[in-house]
Amino acid sequence: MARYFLKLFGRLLLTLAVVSTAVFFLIRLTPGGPAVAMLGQDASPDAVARLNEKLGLTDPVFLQYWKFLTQLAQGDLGESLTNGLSVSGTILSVLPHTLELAIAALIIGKLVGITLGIVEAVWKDRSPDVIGRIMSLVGLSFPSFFVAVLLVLFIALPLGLPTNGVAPFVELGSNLQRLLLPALAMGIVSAAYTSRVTRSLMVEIIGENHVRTARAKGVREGRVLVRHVLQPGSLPLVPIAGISFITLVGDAVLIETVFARPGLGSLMVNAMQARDYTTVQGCIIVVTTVIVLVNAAVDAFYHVLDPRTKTA
Amino acid sequence: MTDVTETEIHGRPQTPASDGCLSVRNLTTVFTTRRGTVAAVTDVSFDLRAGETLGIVGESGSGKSVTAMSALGLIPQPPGKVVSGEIWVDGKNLLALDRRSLRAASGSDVAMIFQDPMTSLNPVHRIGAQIAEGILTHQRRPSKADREAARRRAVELLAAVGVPAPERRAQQYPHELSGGMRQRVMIAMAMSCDPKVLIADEPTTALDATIQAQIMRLLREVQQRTNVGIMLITHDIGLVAQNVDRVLVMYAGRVVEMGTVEEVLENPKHPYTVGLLRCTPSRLPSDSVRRRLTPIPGLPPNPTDLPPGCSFAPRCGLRGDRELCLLEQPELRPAPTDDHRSACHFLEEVTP
Ligand SMILES: Nc1ncnc2c1ncn2[C@@H]1O[C@H](COP(=O)(O)OP(=O)(O)OP(=O)(O)O)[C@@H](O)[C@H]1O
Ligand code: SF4
Ligand SMILES: [Mg+2]
Repeated sequence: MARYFLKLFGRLLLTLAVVSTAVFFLIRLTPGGPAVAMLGQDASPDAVARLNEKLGLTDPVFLQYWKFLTQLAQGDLGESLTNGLSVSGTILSVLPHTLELAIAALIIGKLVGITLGIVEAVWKDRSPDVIGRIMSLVGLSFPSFFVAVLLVLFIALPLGLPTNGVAPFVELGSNLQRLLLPALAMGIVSAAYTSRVTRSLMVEIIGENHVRTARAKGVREGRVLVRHVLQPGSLPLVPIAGISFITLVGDAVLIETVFARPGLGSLMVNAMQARDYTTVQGCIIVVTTVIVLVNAAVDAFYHVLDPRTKTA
Repeated sequence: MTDVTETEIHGRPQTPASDGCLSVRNLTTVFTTRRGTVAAVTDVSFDLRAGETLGIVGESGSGKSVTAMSALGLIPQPPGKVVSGEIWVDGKNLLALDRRSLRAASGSDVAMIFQDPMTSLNPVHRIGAQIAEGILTHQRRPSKADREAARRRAVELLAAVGVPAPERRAQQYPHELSGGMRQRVMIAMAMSCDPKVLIADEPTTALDATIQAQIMRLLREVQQRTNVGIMLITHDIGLVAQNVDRVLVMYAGRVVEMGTVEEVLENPKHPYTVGLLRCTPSRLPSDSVRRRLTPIPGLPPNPTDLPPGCSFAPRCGLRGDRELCLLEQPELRPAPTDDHRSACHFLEEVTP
């Protein structure tokens, strides 16, 4: 067990080292800079130079990199170049909203997608399957921001639901109201994908020999489905859910912008526009950490569930 | 569960053998595929008596498995469909039962073991639980005590099929057992409800020779203990010679010859059977060498497009240029006794 966590920690460190180095240098290669972004295109070169010096950007780049690394090693993500606030503080204040969105979308996507996939597999080639497959094809061909626009036009506006911003978690009703549409927009696309994966997985398992054995024993169809199809089938769904979650965190970037939701995504987009190097670096590092941890959790969960990974 | 309402409506079959524990009458099963309708099994009739082993042999695709699966309602539908026929077990026509009654009969009246023991058990449940499930499935609302009893019975059954340390094995998952052990588990599971008929579809094909012999010995032991009728589907003439009382030879979905093992192997009355036996090194029932069926020259007919007369005609050495074989479907008839039958127009001319 200790070895497992040690390995996990090592993997996290290695990934973070690679990712943070890459983002540090790549972002400095993008044209423009924080000073130009703040002062505008017409600012005098003099003013730009002064601001750059104030921001510490005139130091040799390897000195900056060293400073960044030593800070990072202490868990310090530095201060925003635009407002001077602590980057980790800003991220921590918006991260829950992004996670909330990704988790809600994951739940919607998996609930709808898995159910649909199972129904399609059980009624393979009959009307529920055909209808379900057409639906998921439509869902897959729409990008989530387009679904978001449709949802706003045809659901939020007629019903008078709020279409932007977030509400604090303590105001649960209002929080969920504002969560619903963005989560749906992302969840629908995720459900379409999930239903396809689930369907092909379940169709495969239904054709397996042990299912025939169960039927030959005289086991009820419902029980065959639960114990002999869904239970063995739930295992491969675990890593698929992990992948979906990671995709959803990425999707959140777009959807948060569409719904003007404060979150990691919109923070990152704004920081990128302002060339706020430290904030962009911080966001990427946090996202990477989340991804590595989710992967590890999925891995651990899979091991707990699959009897084949336990030795006799 | 004993749902017999259906049976009482349908009454007794017209011609089942009086001591038959399984009577198949005029079974016809087809598959509808994109390339046309496959006549997988056509007009197959036979009887299996209690305590007897009936061997079913024939080339790949001749309809052996479809015959067996039809009895348990395991034909995937679509594309498959049992078009007609009756399968009588214990006074019930399985093909006339509703889903619920057929389910009640599956496993308790007729049990089945399959070719591939490696994949025939559920990978995520313990062995003991899988055996117990077969028992509990046939009980109405099993109580806690019933569950406990089923669990104990599962261990007893494992012991009875020669699984060492049955208590411990019952707690293990299939991946922890070898192929031979898994086939023993399958047999234990099949015998858990004292079936009248055990269908064994190539039960030893996936196992190596020593294990094969052990499994066949086990099946014989089980049969002596329980008097179960066994339908043994196989490619292996050696297996047939040593383990079987009567033989059914299938070709292109039809029974072409049937009789006692001695009659069919020593005095075959159908050119196809002759061909089958000629392809094996020795055909004496006493010979202990393991032999495989090797195909006869030529290919089996396309099952979506069977010729009008005898299906074997294109490959038959006996036919010569006789028109009858192409025009008229030969029916099974005594060769020469009622016990030994062949579906050849010229069975009198067949020489081994
Ligand atoms: N699911 C299916 N769909 C379409 N055709 C099928 C299906 N299952 C069986 N058949 C057809 O039924 C015929 C008989 O098949 P069956 O499995 O009974 O052969 P078999 O005698 O058991 O052969 P083998 O020795 O290879 O097991 C074959 O022609 C096959 O093409
Ligand atoms: S009926 Fe004719 S073709 Fe068929 S097996 Fe007999 S001789 Fe051959
Ligand atoms: Mg077969």
